[in-house]
Amino acid sequence: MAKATPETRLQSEVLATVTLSFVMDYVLLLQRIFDALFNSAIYSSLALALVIIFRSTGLLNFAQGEMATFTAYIAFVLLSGPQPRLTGGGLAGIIPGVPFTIPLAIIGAVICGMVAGAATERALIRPLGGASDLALVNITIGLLLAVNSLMAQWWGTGPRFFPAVFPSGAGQHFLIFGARLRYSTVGVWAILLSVLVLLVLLLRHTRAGLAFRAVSISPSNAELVGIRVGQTLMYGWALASGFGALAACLSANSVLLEPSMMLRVLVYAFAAATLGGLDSPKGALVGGLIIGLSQTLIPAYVPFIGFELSVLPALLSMVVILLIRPAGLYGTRRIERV
Amino acid sequence: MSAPLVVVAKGSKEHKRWQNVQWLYLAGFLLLTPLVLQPFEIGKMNRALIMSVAILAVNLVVGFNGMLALGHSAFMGIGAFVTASMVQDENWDYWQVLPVVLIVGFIMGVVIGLPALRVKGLYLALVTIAQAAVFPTLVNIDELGIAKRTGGPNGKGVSEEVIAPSYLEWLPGVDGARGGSAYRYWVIVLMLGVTLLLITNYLRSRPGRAVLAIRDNEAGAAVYGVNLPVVKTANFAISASLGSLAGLMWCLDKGFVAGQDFTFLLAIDLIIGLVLGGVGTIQGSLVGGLFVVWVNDLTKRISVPLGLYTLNGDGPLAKAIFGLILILFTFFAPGGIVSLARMVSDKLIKVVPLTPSGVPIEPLDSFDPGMESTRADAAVKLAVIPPVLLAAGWLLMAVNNLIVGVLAFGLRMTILLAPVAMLVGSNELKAHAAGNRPDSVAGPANMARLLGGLGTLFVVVYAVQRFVLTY
Repeated sequence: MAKATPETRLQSEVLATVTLSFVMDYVLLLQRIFDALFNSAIYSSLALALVIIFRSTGLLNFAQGEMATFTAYIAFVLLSGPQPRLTGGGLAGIIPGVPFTIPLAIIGAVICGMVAGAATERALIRPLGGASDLALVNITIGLLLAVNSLMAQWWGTGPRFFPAVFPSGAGQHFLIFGARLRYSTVGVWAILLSVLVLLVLLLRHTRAGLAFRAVSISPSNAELVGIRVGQTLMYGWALASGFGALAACLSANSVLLEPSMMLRVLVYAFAAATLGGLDSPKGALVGGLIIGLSQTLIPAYVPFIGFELSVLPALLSMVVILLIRPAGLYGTRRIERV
Repeated sequence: MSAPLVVVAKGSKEHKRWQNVQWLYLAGFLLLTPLVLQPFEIGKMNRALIMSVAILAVNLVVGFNGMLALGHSAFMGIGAFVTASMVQDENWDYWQVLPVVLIVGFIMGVVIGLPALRVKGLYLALVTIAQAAVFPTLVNIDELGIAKRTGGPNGKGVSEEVIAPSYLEWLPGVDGARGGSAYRYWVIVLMLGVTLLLITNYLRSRPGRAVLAIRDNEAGAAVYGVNLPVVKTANFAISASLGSLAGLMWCLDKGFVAGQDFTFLLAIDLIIGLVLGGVGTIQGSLVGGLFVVWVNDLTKRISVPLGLYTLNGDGPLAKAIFGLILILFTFFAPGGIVSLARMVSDKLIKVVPLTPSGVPIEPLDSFDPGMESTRADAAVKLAVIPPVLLAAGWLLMAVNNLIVGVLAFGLRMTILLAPVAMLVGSNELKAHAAGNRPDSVAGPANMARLLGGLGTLFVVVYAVQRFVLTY
C-alpha cells in the first residue's frame, strides 16, 4: 500500500514547511493529489475488471486480485527466469539487447491472464448456470484461497522486487507549481486511458462488442437473436482479467510483488466500483479517482484518522453510497419483479 | 443393499431404540474427547466447537434468512474484546460478562443490521465484507480510549486462568495433566449445548418461522403479515449476539485476544465451515466447525514432512485445499457434509412417519420386497469389515506413522458400527421367530448378532478402560 513512500512524503513535508510561511500549503495539497493519482489509476483498472464481470455475469469476483497477482508473477518469471533472481535469465537472458523486455513481459502476462480468465469462466462459472449468489461467492472465494496459496507455494511469501515500468528515480518527475508529478503516474494514466479508449471502441464499433453489450442487458434475449452467450461471457472474463493483469503489473513495483499484494488493493477496488456503480465502466474510473484521493487526503487533513486507518474512509464511503444510492454514481437502477 | 438396513415406524419402540443408540454415540464422543485426546488436541477441539457456534451465527443469517452477510468475524472480535477488557481491567468473572457480551452483540447487530439489511444479495455481501475488513484496524484507534481497552496492535492477554472449582473436579478429564483445557472443554460444551437448544427452539417459534418464510419468499412473507425490517433486523441481531458469544468463548479458551485474530480470513473460514457443513442446517454448523479446524490441522501435519511452507501454524497448502474443497462442494455437494451423511443414513435407517391415527403411512414391509436375507448379510458385513479395516489401519500405522495415523483414526471409528450390526441381527432373528423371514436369514442373522456383539463388547471395554485409566 504505498501511495506516498516515506521518501516522497518526507520530501513533500520539507517542501511544505518551507513554503508554509508564504503560501499556506497548497503545494503540499497538490503534491498529495499527485501522489494519490498513481493509486487511483490502479484502483480504477482493477475496479474496471470487477465492473466488466459484474455487468456481464452478475457476480463479484473476489478472486480478481489474486488472479491479477498471479499474472504479475508470470511477468516476473518471464523477466527473470523460473528461479527468481534480480537480473539475468528469462526474456532478458534469451534475447539480450532487446530494449523493451519489461513491456514485452507485461504483454505476455496480460495474455496469460486473459487465457486464465477465459478458462475460469468456462470451467468454473458457466457450468454452475444460474446458481445462487452464495454459490458464486463460494467459487470465487475458493479460487482466491487456492491461487493465493499456490503462489505462496511456488514463489514463496517474501516480497520480490519487480522492475519499474517507467523511470521512477529520484529526479524523474515533472515539476508543476512546485509539486512533483512522477513520470510513472503519468505513464500509468496514459496506459489506463488508452486501454479505456480501446475498450470503448471495442464495445461500440465491433460485432463482438455489440454482442457483449446485448448479453449484458439481457442474456436470454441475446441468445434468442443468435448470440452465443457463453462464448461472449468468456471474452468478457478474458477482458476483465486482462485489466486486472495490467493493474497488477503496473503496481508491482511500488507495492512489492508478494502473494497477497492485491488483496488490500481489491478492497479499495470494490469500494471504487461500488461508488461509481457496479455496472458502469465510467463509474469505475471516477470511483477509483475518488477512492484514491480520499485515501491520501482524508488521513492527511482529518486529525484522528491516521494513515493506518486510511482504509476507513474508502469502506465508509462504500457503505454510505450503498445505503443512499445502491446503484452508485453512474450505475443503472435495478428494478426487481417479485 | 438397496433396501434400508432398518425400517421403523416413527415413535415406535424400535425407533426409540435407534435414537438411543444415536444419543449413546454422541455421549461417548463427548465423554471420550477429554479423556483420549492430548491437551493440545483438546485445545483444537475447543477451537472447533467455538467455530461451530460462530458458524451457527452465520448460518442464522445466511442459511435460514437468505441474507448474504459475511462479516461475522467482526462480531466475534467485539465479543472477545469486551470480554478481555471486562475480565482483565474490571476484574469481572466470565459468567458476569456473559449477559453484557450478549447485549452488546445484540445492540451492535441492530446498529449494523438496521441500515445494512436495506440492501440485498451481493450488495449486502459487500457491506458486511467492509465491516470484516475494517474491524482489525478499528481496534487500534487511539481515540476514546479504544486502544487502551483492546491493547491496540499488541493484543490483550487475560491473566485470570479458567480452572475448575473444587466441586466440578469430577468432570471427566478435568483432574490431572489436561485439567485446564479439559475444564474449558466442558464449559464450551455446556455453552454450545444451551445455544443449540435455544436456536433450535427459536427457529421453531413464530419469529423463527417468519425468518424462514422471508428466506423462501420475501414478498410472500410480507403478504402474510411478516414485518420484514423488524424480523430481519432482530434475526441479524440475535446472530450478532451469538457471534459475540463465540468471541467470549474464544477469549475464555485462549486467554489472549488480538485484532489480527479477527480479520477477513476468519470470516472466510466461517463461510467455508458453513458451506462444508451444510447451509441452512443446525447439524451443518457443528460439522463445519469441526471440519475447518481439523482439516487445517491435518494439512499442517502433512505439510511439514513434504517440505512445504508453513505460515502462522498452517501451511499455504491448507488454504489451497480449502479453496479446492469449497469449489468441489459447491459443484457436487451443495448441501454440504450433512446432505452426504443423510444419503448414507437413508441407506441405513428408514423412519416411516405415522398418519394422524397412528398407523405408518406405508406398511413397513413395503420397503423390503423379498430382500430379507440381504439385510442380515449386510449386517454381517458391518460386523466383519470394521475389524479388518482396523487391523489394516494398525498395520499401516506401523509402516508410516504420520499421514496414515489420521487415516487409521478414521478406520478405528468404523468399529462403532458393531452395535448396529448386533441390533440388526437380533431384529432379524426376532422376525424369523415370528415367522416373517425365510429360514435362510437365520444363519447370517445369528452371525451378525454374534460378531456385532463382540465388536460392541470391545468398544465398551475400550471405553471403560479409558475411564479407569484416567481415574
